[in-house]
Amino acid sequence: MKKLLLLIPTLLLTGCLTSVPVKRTFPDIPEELKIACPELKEATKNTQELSKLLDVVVVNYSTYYECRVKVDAWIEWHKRQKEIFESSQ
Amino acid sequence: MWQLQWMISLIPDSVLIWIINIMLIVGVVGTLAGFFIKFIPFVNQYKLPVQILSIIILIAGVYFKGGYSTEMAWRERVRIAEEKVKEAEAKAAKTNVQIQTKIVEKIKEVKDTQVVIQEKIVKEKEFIDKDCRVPEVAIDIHNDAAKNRKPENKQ
Repeated sequence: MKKLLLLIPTLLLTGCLTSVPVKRTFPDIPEELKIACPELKEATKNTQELSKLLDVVVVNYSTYYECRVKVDAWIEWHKRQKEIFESSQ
Repeated sequence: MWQLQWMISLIPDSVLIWIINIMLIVGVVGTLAGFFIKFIPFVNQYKLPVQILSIIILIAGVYFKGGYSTEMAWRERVRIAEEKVKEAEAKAAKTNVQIQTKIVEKIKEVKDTQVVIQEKIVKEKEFIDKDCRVPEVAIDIHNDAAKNRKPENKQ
């Protein structure tokens, strides 16, 4: 009988059981950041003109700066999204 | 158990709380009445069934009251959490637009600078190429560096 009486509070406590699903979506990233950095350009073989080589070097430097912009943007994106995520906890 | 909870969720909250309160009142009144019923003639023969039924109703009432209160408290917490998530999603989208604009502007700046420098090379082409011939090995070294590969040893 005493064991049966123990069932009563157990049964009563199951009334307090609940599950709370709050769906949270992962923040999207800007389209530009989905594109990978391009390969660096090679100079044409047997070119003897310095201007042509210089032209390739300039393109490659620009590629680096373009890529740097993206990396900086990734860092900023992560920092700001983290701040938003933590503020909504 | 979830089937029972699902069926209960179909009943409007205002009706549900009334049913639960009535169950509690009936349970308490019935249980107390069970102690005094023995003094009432003719009715006292139903003492045990009244007591058992009242206790069952009281237990069920307490069970549902607990479940209802917890459910309401969680619903409120969920509502607050959902509001926060919605707000965060709006902020995240706004941040993305700002970052996207910044990227486009900066890349445009890089491209514009590249064009200006290339124009300068075209302008100064004769002067640049006048006294200098680039050896093949210099091109190879440049290309190896561009592709991040180790140079081959050519004799």
